[in-house]
Amino acid sequence: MNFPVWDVWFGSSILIAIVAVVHVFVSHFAVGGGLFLVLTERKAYREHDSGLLSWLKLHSAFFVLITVVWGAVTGVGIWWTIALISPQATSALIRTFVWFWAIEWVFFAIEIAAVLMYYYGWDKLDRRTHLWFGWAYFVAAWMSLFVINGIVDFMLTPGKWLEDFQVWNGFFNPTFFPSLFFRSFLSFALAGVYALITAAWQKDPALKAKVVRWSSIWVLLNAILAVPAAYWYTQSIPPAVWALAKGTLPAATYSAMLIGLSAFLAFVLAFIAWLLAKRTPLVLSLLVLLAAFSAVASFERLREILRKPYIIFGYMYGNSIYSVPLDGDMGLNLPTLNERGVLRAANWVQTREIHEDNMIQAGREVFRLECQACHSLGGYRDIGRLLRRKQLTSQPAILAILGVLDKVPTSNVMPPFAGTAKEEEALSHFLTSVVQSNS
Amino acid sequence: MNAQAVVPYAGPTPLPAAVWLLEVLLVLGFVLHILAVNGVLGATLIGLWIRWFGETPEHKRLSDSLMHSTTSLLSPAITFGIVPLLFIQVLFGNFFYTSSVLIAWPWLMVIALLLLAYYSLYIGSWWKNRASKLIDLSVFVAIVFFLLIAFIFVNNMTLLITPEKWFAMYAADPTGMRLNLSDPTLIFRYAHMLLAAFGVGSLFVVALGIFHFKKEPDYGRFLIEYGGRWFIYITGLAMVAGFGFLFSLSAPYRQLFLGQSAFGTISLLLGIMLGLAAIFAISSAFHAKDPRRCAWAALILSALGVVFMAIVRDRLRDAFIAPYFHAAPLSVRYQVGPMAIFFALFILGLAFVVYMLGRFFRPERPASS
Repeated sequence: MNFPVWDVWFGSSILIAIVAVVHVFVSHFAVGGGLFLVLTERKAYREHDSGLLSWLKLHSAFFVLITVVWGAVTGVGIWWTIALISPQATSALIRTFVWFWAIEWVFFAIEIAAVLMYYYGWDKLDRRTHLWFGWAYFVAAWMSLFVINGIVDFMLTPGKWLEDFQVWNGFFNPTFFPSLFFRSFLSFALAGVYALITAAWQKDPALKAKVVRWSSIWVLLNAILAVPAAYWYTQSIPPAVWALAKGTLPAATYSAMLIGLSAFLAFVLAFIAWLLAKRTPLVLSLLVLLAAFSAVASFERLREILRKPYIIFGYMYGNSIYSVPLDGDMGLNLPTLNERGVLRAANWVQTREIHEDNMIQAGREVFRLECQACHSLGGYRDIGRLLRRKQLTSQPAILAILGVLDKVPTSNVMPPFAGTAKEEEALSHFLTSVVQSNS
Repeated sequence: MNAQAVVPYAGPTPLPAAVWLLEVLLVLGFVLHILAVNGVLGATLIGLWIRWFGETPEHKRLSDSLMHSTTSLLSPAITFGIVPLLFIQVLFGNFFYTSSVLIAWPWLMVIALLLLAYYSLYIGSWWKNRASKLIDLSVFVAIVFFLLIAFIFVNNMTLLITPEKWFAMYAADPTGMRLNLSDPTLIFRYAHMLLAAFGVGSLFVVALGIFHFKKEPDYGRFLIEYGGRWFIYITGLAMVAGFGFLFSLSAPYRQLFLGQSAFGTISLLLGIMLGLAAIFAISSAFHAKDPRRCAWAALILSALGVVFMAIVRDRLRDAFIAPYFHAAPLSVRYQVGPMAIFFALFILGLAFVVYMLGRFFRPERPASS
């Protein structure tokens, strides 16, 4: 409401989800893959296995193409996307954590320099120095995870920061350590998942068997280690929030189950790969990758759903409205907006006064300001379809639900309606027109 | 709608350091970013040019080494790009986010274009058969995408400083499917930025020449002269476009650099004079017995020139948006601990990267496997 709302016809929330998931799936691989490279290289030297070493060279080319290009550019892509869709929240995150982002950037720069020298150093450097570059890469990459982990977790569990706005309290928040362990094990498991892909390409059966077994052990072992970390993570989330994932809220419960199922499937498939060894087909490796992707995507989705109705828990709602008054918020908080009205407070609206004959037009503006961060008109989380599914097709019924948005048992992930009674009425007329025009 | 009324509020989150410090980091980050970007542009454009038109074996050799270095140049270009991206959001987020939303789809396309350009450069760099036409095609595609990315950036940066246009644009179309094409300075700014980038980028060939001169003086001299000539001609054109840009600005802004503001005028003058001095230095290198000193001077002078031009760019933005700053001042709450950790890590990190480069380029022992 402070910023213009970008009107994405198919839904802005799905756009951000796509960009985030394709980045996260690669960025974790970029961390765990570093450890995988050095430990595999060391193994090859110890066992005097030149076949394993030549496979690793090939795998490191694949690693560079995936992490340095895709990982780095989609990482910038996340910033691009969140700034377009939630500028107010992005601004808060950037201003609060700018030095942490800057620290992360130092590690990222070391990471990129080290991995390029590692790759181009295969035929140039002696073994010890080459391994040293690999370690330098891994440590920098893991440190970069360490820093970003604090900022990402902050959004779900800002902890004491909400009371004192002390940045260290926001950074070392209640889920910082469990999430760090969980993400670390996840990243090591993903290193094995990706290695199974290049392993399956191998022609030499003995080499293929060795690489498949080694890679699947990475998946199996780290999947097991991730379980207690995941449990610790769930225990660190406020119980009321976690209750949503345990049956209260269908979407959260579904995502939580999907994580478990996908991870279990990835585990079983990796175990089959371990058994098949030299007979492992590429398609099996791809299925492991797909299952792991589904687990990571569901984890990201669950985090997003649990955070609802907030974008920064207990501070800012998903639609960029502050949940409580703050110094300098220019009245863009729930109580003030209820008094003053969103159409008066917002910067980017054309209809400020509501009359009998501009109800739908004004309601459209309110929808854009308050609802469009999550809902769309005809795309993802299509508001018309959702209302029809709940059999809310008449204006009085819609108006009634608007009054209790944050209290409806199965959808108490919505922020409360912000604004005057007149604005609520205008929104109900607009939504009625949407439902009726689609039916 | 009053333009001032639509400029978003800075928000309740205080700045984590003083404005001047954040602005210095913004300009410094931009300089590092643009120098690396210049290198990418110079290497790809000259590399492809001599693949097509170069005749001698030296040309062919240069083209190959340029093609191999593009990906390693693009990495620091992106990495350094994160610094100004970070600090522009801290300082001018309310302007930057808004202009980005108004041209959201082209702006988001930058990411896709960059991804494709990056992979195209890897094809150009890694493809085994060096005679393949695929290399020409992929590097050509990368260049076209880079030019498009630069064009979208110039659109955003010109829109960022003209909030008076914003509301009408948004009211006409909130879907973000547009650019800022009507801006009278757009084409001059784009031409100037692009030519200057290409000019400075051609000094990458000069730098290669300095590197090779000790062992292969003839090849080193060829590189210094070849890159130097590109630099002279293109920088000359960039200066013409620069004057075009200056005179496309409306009078009050132009005057800032023509005497009204001492800081602005001196910065611009220094930028131009350093550019001219760099041209003089590189042409002196052509006739020197050992061209390396003059070539070094050209590199340093042009890098300094970029610093002052970046300051000019910064001043120009500040002048444009000054009337739109809201009355509520930006509050500052120093985060001393995290800031100190950053600066310490930055220095250590820089030393570490230099140490890594040293280890990489001077291996202690010969390769063994």
